[in-house]
Amino acid sequence: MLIVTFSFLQSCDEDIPSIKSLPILAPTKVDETAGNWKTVLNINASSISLPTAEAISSAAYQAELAELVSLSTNRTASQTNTANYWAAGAVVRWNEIARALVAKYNIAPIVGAPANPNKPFSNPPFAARAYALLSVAQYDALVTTWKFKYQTNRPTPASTNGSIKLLTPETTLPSFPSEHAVVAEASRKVLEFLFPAEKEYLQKLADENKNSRKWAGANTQSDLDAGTSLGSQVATLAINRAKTDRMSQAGSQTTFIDYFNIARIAESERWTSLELPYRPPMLPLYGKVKPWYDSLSAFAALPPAPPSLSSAEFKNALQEVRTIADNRTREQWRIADFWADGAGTFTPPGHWNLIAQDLIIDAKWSEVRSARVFSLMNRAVMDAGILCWYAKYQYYLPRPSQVDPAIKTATGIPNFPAYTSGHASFSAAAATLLAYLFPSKASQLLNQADEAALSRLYGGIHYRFDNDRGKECGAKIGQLAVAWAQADGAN
Amino acid sequence: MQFKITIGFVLMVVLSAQGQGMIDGFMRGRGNLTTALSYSTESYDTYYVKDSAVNNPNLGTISTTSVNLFAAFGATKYLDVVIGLPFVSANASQGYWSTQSALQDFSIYLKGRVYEKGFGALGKLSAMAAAGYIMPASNYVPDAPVAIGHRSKNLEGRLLIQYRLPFGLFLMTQGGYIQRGNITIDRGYEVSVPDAWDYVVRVGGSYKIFYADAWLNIQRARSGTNIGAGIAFPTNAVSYQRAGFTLYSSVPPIKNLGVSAGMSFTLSGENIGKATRISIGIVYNVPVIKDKNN
Repeated sequence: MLIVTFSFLQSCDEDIPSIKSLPILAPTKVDETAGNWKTVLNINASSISLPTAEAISSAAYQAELAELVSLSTNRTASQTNTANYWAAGAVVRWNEIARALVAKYNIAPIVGAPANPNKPFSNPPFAARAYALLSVAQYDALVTTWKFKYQTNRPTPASTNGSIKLLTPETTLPSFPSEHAVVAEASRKVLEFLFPAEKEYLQKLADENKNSRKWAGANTQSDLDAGTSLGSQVATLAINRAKTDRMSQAGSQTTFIDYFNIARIAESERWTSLELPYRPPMLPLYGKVKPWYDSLSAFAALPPAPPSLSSAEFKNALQEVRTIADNRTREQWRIADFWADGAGTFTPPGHWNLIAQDLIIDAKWSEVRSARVFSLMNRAVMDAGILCWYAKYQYYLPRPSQVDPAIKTATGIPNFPAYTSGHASFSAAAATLLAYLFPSKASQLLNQADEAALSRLYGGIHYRFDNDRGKECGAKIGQLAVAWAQADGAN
Repeated sequence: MQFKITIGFVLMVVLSAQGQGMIDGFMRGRGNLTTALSYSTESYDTYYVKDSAVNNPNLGTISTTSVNLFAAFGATKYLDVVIGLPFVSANASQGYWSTQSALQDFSIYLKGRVYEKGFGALGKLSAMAAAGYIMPASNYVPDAPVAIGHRSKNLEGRLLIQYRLPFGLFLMTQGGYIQRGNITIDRGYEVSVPDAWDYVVRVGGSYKIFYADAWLNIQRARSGTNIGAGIAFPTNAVSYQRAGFTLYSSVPPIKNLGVSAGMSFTLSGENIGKATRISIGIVYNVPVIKDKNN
C-alpha cells in the first residue's frame, strides 16, 4: 500500500523536460535593410548563385502552395510540436544544438591517445572557435539572404493563398529564400566540419528544420531549396577560412616550448600539470590562431608580465587565494560552481551564448539581428581567448595549488597556466559587447562578468591579478567588437 | 525472556548512513527511548562507473567519517518514532578537491506494527510498516567528486516482516521505496535525483546483554545517469549490494549502557564507491516515561 502511494508521489511532475520550450519568434522589426549590413567574410552576393524564383502565377509555384495548404491543414500533433520547436528561431535553436554538441565532446582524451578527428576535444578554446564559426556563417548567410529576399520580393505563401493554416505569425518579410533553410544548412555544414561524426544527426535536424517550415505553412519548397543553396555556399566560405586559421597547429606540443622560449623561465617558476599522469597543456599555440577583429589592436592588448613568484605582490596574491580556500563560504562555492562550466559542459563561451540567447528572445529580434549578436559576441569571445592563451604560454605562470599545495579547490584545476584567466577574458569580452547591444541590461551583464572572473578566485584556481588582467584584455577586445557593431550598418 | 532486550540493532543506523539501518524488526515498547552516538569511517579507492570498477589517481582514496546521533522512542506499544542526524566529513587523499564537512540529512521515521502472531514455542511472526521523511540538515554541496550526500528531500516507505525464533534468533526481511525529490544544483538548474528500491535481509540473535547480526542490503536506482564528464553527481543511478555485521554488548556495571561495533562491505555496485565501513558506538537506554505498571 505504502509503495503504491510513493509510486504515485513519484509520478507527480518530477520530470524535467529535456527540450527547452521557447516562445514562437514574432520579431518586432523585419530589418528590411539588413541586406546592406557589413558581412564578416565580405560576401559578394553576385558570386552566390541561386535557383530562379518562379513567378507567383506559375504552375510550379501554385503547386507548391497547394502542397502547403495540404500539409498545414493536415498537420499532425508531432508535426505541430516540431514546427513550434523551430518557430522559436532557427538561429537560437542551432545555437542550442551547437552548445549541446560542445558539451558532448568536452571530454579530455586519455593521456597519450592519438588525436581522433572524429572525436575532437571541445575544450573552451575549441568551443569559442566553434561558436564563432557557426555564428559568422549564420550571420553572413542571413545578411545575404535579406539582400536576395528584397531583390526577389516574393510575398509569404499565406498572403498569397488564404487556405494555408499558418502556425507562425504573419510577416511582411519576403519568403524567398527561406531564412530557416539558410540557417539550417549553414549550421549543419559548419557543425559537421567541427564534429564529423555527427553528420547523420545534423542532417536529420536540418531536414526537420526545413520541413517544419512547410508544416508551419511558412515556406514553400522553392523557398527552402534556395535557402539551402545559399546557406551551403556561405558555409563553405566560413569553413575555408577555418581551414587556414592555424587551429590545426594549436595543439602542437613540440614547438610551443621554443616558440614561447619557455626555457628562459626559472624551473621553479614554471607551470606544470597537476594531473596524474602528467597531461600536456591544452592547445599551447591557440594564441597564434587567426583572430576575427583587428589583430594588431588585439595584440596591443597583451597584458604585462605577472609578478615574479618571489615578489611580495605575488606572495600577497597567493595568500589571498589560500585564505579564501581555507575559509570558503557556501556562497563562494556556489559562485565557483555556477560559472565553472567545466568538463562535459558547453564551456564558459557557451554560458555567454546562453545569456545572449535569453536577451535575444526577450528583445524579439529578427533572425538576422539575432545572428548579428552571436556573430559579434562569439568573435570577441574567441579573440579574447586567443589573447588570453597567448599570455598563458608567454608567461607560463603556475596555478596557486602548484605553488601552495595546501590550497584546496572548489572546482577542477584547468590543465594550463594561470595568467590570465580565460573565464575573465571570455566574460569581459562578451559582457562588453552585450552591454552595448542591450544597454538596459548593461550593469547586470558587467556584474555577471565580474562574478564569472571572481568565481575562479573563489574556486581557488586563479590569483586576483589573473582575473583583473584577463578582464582588461577581454574588455579591450569587447570594445573592438563594439566598434565593428557601430559601423556594420545595423544601427 | 530472550525476546525482550533488543537494543543492539540500532547500531545498524550508524553502519550505514542510508535508510536501511534505520528501521529494524523490533518495537521499543511504550515509553522506552533508545539513544546512540556512533562514529563511522569508510573509505574506497575504487569506484564503479556504471558497473566498471575504476581508480582515479587524481582523487586517490576517498575517506568519509561520520558522527551520528540516533534516537528511537516507543510512543505506544505499536508505534515507534525514529530519528537520525549525522555529521559527515569527506576528503580525497590525492588531487586538490576541498574537503566537505557538514551536517548531512535529518531523518524521521514512524514505524508501526501492523500484525503479530505467536506460534508458541516455534516463535513469533510480526509485520511492520514504516514511513520516513529525510531532509538535508544543511546546505551542503551535493554536486562534486568529493561530496557527502544528494541533498534531496526524500520520502520513504518500508514494509518489514520479522520472524523471531526460539533462543533469541531472528530473521528479518524488508523492502522499501525511496522517493527522492529534485534538487537545484549550484550550476543554476534543477535536476532529478533518482528514486530507488531498497531491500534488506538480516539474521541474528538478540539477548539481554548481547546482540549480533549479519545482513545483506540491496539498493537499486529506478533510473538515472552514469558517472561522466558534465553529469551532475546527484543524478547518477546509484545501486549497490552491501553486506555487513553488527555486534553489541551491554556494559554490565553501568545500567542501560552498551557499546557496539560493526562493519560493512560493498560487494558490487553502480556509480558508487567500493567502500568498506567500520563503526563503533555507544548506546544508552533512557527509561524516561516508563509505564508504571511495566
